[in-house]
Amino acid sequence: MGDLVDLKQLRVSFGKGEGRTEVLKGVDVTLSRGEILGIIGESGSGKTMTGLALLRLLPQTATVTAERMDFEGSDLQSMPDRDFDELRGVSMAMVFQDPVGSFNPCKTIGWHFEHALRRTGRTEGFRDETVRLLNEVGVRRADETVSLYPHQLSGGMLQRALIALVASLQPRLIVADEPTTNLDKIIEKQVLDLFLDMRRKLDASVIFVTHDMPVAASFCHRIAVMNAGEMVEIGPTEQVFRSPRHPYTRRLIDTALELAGVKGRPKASAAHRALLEARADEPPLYKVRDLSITFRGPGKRGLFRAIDGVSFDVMPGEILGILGESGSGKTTLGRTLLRLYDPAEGSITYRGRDITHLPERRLRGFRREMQMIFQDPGGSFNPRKTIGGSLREALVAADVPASQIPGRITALLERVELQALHAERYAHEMSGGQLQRVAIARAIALNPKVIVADEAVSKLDVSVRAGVLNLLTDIQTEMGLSMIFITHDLDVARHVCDRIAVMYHGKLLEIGPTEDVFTNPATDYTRSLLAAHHNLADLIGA
Amino acid sequence: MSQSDPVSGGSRSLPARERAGYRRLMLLGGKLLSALVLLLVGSLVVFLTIQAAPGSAALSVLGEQATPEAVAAFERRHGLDQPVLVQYLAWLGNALRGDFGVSLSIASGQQISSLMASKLPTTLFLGAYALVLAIAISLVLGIYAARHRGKTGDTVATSISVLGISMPDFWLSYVLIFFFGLSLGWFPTYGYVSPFVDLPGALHAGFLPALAIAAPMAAVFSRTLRAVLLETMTRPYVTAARSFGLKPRFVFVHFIFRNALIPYLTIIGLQIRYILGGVVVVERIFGIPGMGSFMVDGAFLRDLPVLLACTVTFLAIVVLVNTLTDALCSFLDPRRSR
Amino acid sequence: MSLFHRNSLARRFLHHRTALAGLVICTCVLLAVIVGPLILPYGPEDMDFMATLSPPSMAHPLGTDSFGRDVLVRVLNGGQVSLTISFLAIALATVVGGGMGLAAAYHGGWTDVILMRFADLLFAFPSFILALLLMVMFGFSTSNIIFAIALVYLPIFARIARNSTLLVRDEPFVQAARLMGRRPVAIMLTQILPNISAPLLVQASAGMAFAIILEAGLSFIGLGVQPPTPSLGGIMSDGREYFSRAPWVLTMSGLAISVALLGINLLGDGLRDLTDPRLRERN
Repeated sequence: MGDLVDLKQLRVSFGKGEGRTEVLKGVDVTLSRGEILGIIGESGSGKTMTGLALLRLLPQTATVTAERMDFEGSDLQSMPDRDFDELRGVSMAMVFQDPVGSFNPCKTIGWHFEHALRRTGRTEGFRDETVRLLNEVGVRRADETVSLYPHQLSGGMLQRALIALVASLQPRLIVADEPTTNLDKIIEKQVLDLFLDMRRKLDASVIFVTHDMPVAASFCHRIAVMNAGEMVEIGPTEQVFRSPRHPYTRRLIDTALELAGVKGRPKASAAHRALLEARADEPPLYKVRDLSITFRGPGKRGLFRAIDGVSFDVMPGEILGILGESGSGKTTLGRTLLRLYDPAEGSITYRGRDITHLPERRLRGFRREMQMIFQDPGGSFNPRKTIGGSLREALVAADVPASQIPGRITALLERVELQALHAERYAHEMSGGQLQRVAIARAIALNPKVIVADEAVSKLDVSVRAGVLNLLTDIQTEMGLSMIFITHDLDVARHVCDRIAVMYHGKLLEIGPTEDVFTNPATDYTRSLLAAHHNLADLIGA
Repeated sequence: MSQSDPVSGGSRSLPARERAGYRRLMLLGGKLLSALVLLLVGSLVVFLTIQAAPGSAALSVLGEQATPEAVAAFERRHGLDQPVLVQYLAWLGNALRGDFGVSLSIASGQQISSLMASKLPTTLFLGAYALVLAIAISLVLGIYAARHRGKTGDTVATSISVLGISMPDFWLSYVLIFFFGLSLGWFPTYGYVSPFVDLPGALHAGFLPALAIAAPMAAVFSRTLRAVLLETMTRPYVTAARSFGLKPRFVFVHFIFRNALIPYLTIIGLQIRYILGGVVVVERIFGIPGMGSFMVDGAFLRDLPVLLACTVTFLAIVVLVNTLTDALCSFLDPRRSR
Repeated sequence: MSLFHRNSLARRFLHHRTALAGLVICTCVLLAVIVGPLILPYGPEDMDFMATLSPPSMAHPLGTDSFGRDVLVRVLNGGQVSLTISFLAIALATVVGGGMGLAAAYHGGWTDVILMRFADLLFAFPSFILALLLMVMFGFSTSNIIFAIALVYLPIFARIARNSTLLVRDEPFVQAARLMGRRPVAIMLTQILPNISAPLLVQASAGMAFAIILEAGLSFIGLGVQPPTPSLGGIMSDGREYFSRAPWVLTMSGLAISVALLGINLLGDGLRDLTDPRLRERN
């Protein structure tokens, strides 16, 4: 087997001597003609390195060794750079994660196609061929697009153009490195379909690198699972997902299934139900009416409406989900509820008091009641302070007497399932999951009444997501606070939220109890969002 | 705290291509306008600074023993008894017609504009010569260092750059005079040949002063170029270009250098203010009758109209060059002319 | 935004060849200009008319000038004056310019427009011309040289502080501090300043080199530190008058400037490599 690619004991390391770090520790990969191999793994697992090493695209500081590294029967390791250049593109090509970054920003789309097409021996008719290729991948107004610059196209259009560009080279092997990770779900599905379509036409083999298990499960023939530079498991898709052999794979799939709702949902817990019932008669915590927020648009011309006439209430003790894709205004909405931004129109009433235009000075009293957990765990902490120092700041702000602070820091860290010794560390010395736990600790240190969690788990690896989510919901119930949970992930939203508001282009399309929104969506947009979604549990029939 | 746009873009539609040209024109117009405003405010500030300086112009010209009547007559003659803003507007009106008034103490009573007529081209020639040399040297050193990064060639090129910025122009001038002028006799060490009379002669005579100004600049430019080239090399589009199998030389020229050019030019524009500073000192060392020597003479003799005229002229050169490089950068960078 | 704490910076610093070389040269220069004048047997203005323009010898390691003054002593004293002026000027520019940029970026709006337009205006003047004009207008005192140099470099610090603050301002940890109810001034000082100090520090070390050049240039043409106070530029200026008869005066003072600049530039390069995460690489 493996008549196209045959890799044996592939090792990649960076640096020399003591500072040497091995990122691939002997990986075996084989690939047959026409096959799609999915490589899944978390960040830092080395999944991207395999493809880059195969195409000899790693930086010069990397050392690559292998017992065997064959492509179509010829040895790649002994091949001189000059011959390798001939192979790249026309025999093996790559589709990168970031379509915007993959194009030369100073050159038009047409220029890129012209030079790619020259590689295939074509000497004329570049424009017509480009238009044909762009039309094939569904780029609107292809004729005009040829003379546009990359920054003038959206990410989705650029990814289509990139796929067309790779297709123009007619490679026999395509390495796709998270080709749809930066795209919205609805566009992701279209682009993935397109990608598969192209593969069929070219009869090419694909190495599909992804962290998204539902996507891998629905597209790949075989799956390789990577962890910490090692390939822990490789096998047919069904077998890997249904009966994983390696404990790591099992944990990965279990977590994904937990988020997919197989094990029940925390919001259905008895304690949470009791909290909601106990506080059902209280007035709303927030009343938001016709809220609009404008920003100076890109290029400083005109105003851009990030939020456009939004009205809703937040009830005490509930978890309200705000669901939307990038650019929908969901983050802006969350930050405006905490008055980190100034509203342009409408009103925000918090516990009966109009805080719409309250100046920063007078907001300070309220601020401690409203806390936020941010998307980027690395940026949530001052890099110059220890974790303990950051928590101390919060406790000082909460007027905790100085003598009690050290004890409270330890208690907080233990509440979020960390240890006292973590207080000595700096943010860069901790993992994303740990940092997000500390962020929760810092938020509850101020005894808030509401927490806005902005994509709190989307930058975390799948295997730690469920843990952080469960901690967050436990604390929410325990402290009886309201939570506004901002996310783009349907599984996560369904997992934790009592009610869901769907945002699109700054407007609130619908709001209702979670199950109603999921089973009986009121708008076409929500329906297409649900249609584009792959639920791992459904896919593998768990 | 001000608000900035937290989400990028919004909805993008395909803009028509013709509108890009119009936008570029508008952008250029806007840049010229803000350059003019900067020049006006700058000249006003210089004017006010000179007015605020201690000491009276009349006394410095007429001598400390001048009678009050003579001082009053002098001030009336030169309009110094008017309110400051009126004086400025009068000066501005004249300056726009190319009339900077008369020199008080360098060449008493002579029109400054006629004095400057021969000095300005001299200085512009020297500055441009130095700039061209600096760019040429930095292109060679910067590209060489970036392409051989981490190897001996890089270390050598980088070391030359560090030595370059550790040699101020006035000190380097003497080193050059000593080696190339006095010891080897290849270049003249004093004096000046007009490029309009004898261009090869001017290039020959101006070589040492131009090199003295250019060398520290070349060091700065080449370090910048090396850094931006290395940074551009790590961009994903470079890896993507290689994955298409494009030739390394092609990738270097069209992907790496083309994109590094924009920050490189920006730095050059910003360094103009230092080049002109070098001109002042180096002109004095080599005895070149340019704006720099003129201004230093004016400084020693407290010839305020001359100082004013020179400072505003230098300001105008910097603003002009900055506007030009800025316009060139937005022309080269399609993202900026949107 | 990944920065590292001091311990690891110090350790990495000692492993960085450029930074270490810079540090060694700078330490030597500092020691020489501080200790040298104390232990050498001459004062900077002690004249010896029996030994004018004498070449380097055991008694005068770098020779003497036309008044028979010891060149080594004058260079060390001049270096002390030049370094003090440059240091104070850059410190002033860093504090004031950095503060301006920080405030402009944090508050935005009109504060930003006014402060940065002022910086742009200063930045449009050729550096040497601006300093020269200020010196002529306000007199050649040492404090005026410091103010003039500080004013010339102020806009650079303002720009760097502003750009760095804009990068940090919307970081979650700054927003988190706002949500704790901290005052703007406290946020600027405790959250933002520690995170923009690295680029400011790097720029300050580069600025030190430029300030030395600017001060020496002004003194060289006679519009800076006034005789008899020794300064590196002033000594060079003396030296050029009898360059053909006694080249050591000009050469030695020139070399002194170069050594100081080399040390500062190497140190600055090393600091930049060590603190700029974009330039850091695996090696």
